[in-house]
Amino acid sequence: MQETILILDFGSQYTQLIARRVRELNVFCDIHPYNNFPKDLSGLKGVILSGSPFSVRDQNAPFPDLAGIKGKLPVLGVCYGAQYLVHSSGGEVAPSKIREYGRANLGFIDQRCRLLRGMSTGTQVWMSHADTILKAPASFKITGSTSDVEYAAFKIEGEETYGIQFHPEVYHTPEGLHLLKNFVVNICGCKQDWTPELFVESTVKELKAKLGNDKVVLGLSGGVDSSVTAMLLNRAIGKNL
Amino acid sequence: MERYKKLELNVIGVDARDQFLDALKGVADPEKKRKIIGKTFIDVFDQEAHKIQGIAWLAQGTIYPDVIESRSVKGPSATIKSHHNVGGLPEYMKLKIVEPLNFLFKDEVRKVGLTLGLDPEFINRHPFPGPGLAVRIIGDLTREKIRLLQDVDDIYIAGLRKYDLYHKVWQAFAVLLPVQSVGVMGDERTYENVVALRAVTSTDGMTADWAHLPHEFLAKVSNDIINKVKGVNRVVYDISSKPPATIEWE
Repeated sequence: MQETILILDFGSQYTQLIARRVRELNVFCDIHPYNNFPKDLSGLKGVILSGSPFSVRDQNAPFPDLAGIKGKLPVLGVCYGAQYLVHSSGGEVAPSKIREYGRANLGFIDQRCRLLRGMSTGTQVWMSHADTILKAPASFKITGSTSDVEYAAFKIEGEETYGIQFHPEVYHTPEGLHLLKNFVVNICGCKQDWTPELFVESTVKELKAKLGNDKVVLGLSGGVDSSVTAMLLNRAIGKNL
Repeated sequence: MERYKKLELNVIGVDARDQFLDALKGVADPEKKRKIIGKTFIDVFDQEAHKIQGIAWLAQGTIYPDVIESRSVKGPSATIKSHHNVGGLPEYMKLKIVEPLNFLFKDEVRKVGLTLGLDPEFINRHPFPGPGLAVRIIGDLTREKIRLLQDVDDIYIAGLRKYDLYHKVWQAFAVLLPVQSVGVMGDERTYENVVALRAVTSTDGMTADWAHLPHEFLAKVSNDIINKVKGVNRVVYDISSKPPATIEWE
């Protein structure tokens, strides 16, 4: 089974952007809503918890059961995802005195942390949150802070679970891709072999198995999507298309 | 068609121009035009697909953003866009669906297309609306109007390529307006069509700014269009951003 990073979506506008960034690293990743886990977990190398328009203090906020993954696979919580890790472990998340939107700088970075290793002290990060983490259980170690946010980055001792308050996926976090690479490559151990060539090879193989000798019809509009679909099918089943 | 044949695809070409134009005759309302085109597309596809025996699967070019939308946090959206190729295919066809691109973003589809040997010029074309030029001819459609707009568009796009501007804009096209204006050509007064040129910059099509094309280029292309396309005596340039305007006019 293909190596996969799973993104659990809590409804953030940036979720698709996280997927794009991970795929830029030639690692396959798939987005699922928090309440709809994929059935097939084979090939799963790590999980990213997205941000959310909800606050963990909301009654109807997303509270997924992470027992199947947390502590077993590497987990990275982003913004709401990080707050949820704290909240669900008995920590305290509360509205910030000042709402934090926009640029901030990581004045403190623990270089021993595998997630942040290689990022430069003072590097700019993009914040977009109204809640903030006030208190976390003792096993949550702070690994990065800004002048306003103590828990800008943390790791849970004894497991590969990380949380960050800022958004690594946006343009305004220039070292964000470095952080995501640390996560998917160094921590999750993905091989970065998901390339267009590999996609073509494995998709053609899958299509052959799925379609056998069946005939397929396709409406070819002349656009890019239907043309590429036609080329893939042509390679897999030839004249049966 | 030639391109697809060269790629050795098993492709059937259907010339349904008359069917589309007959259905659209005298229709000026943009929403009606879109609906008629969508329905005609399905009718034509259905007619042709029926001629082929023993089909078990329908392939679609659905891509990842559509898939995510359909399984979003809010639950399956009630208003998911049906793919314009096959939107609302008749129930009785009962085909199984295969969507090999349903895990790819648009730029990844392009990369896969290149890997499969599709021409980069083709892969990196500007977006083109499903209903085609029908939404770039304001008002009702006639063969003459389509011919005229194709000629104008051809000169405009060729000019952009020649001046190395084509890949610097997200999308560029011409629009035929339902307006005639007075002009003077030689010693004669004319009363002919107005075309608008549009070019926008954007990263995703969600927001867009009008492209600040060089005046020298605009002067050249405007001159070319008026001199070469009979029936056009005025060219204007659209300087609206999205929002509040949209990229296309209809």
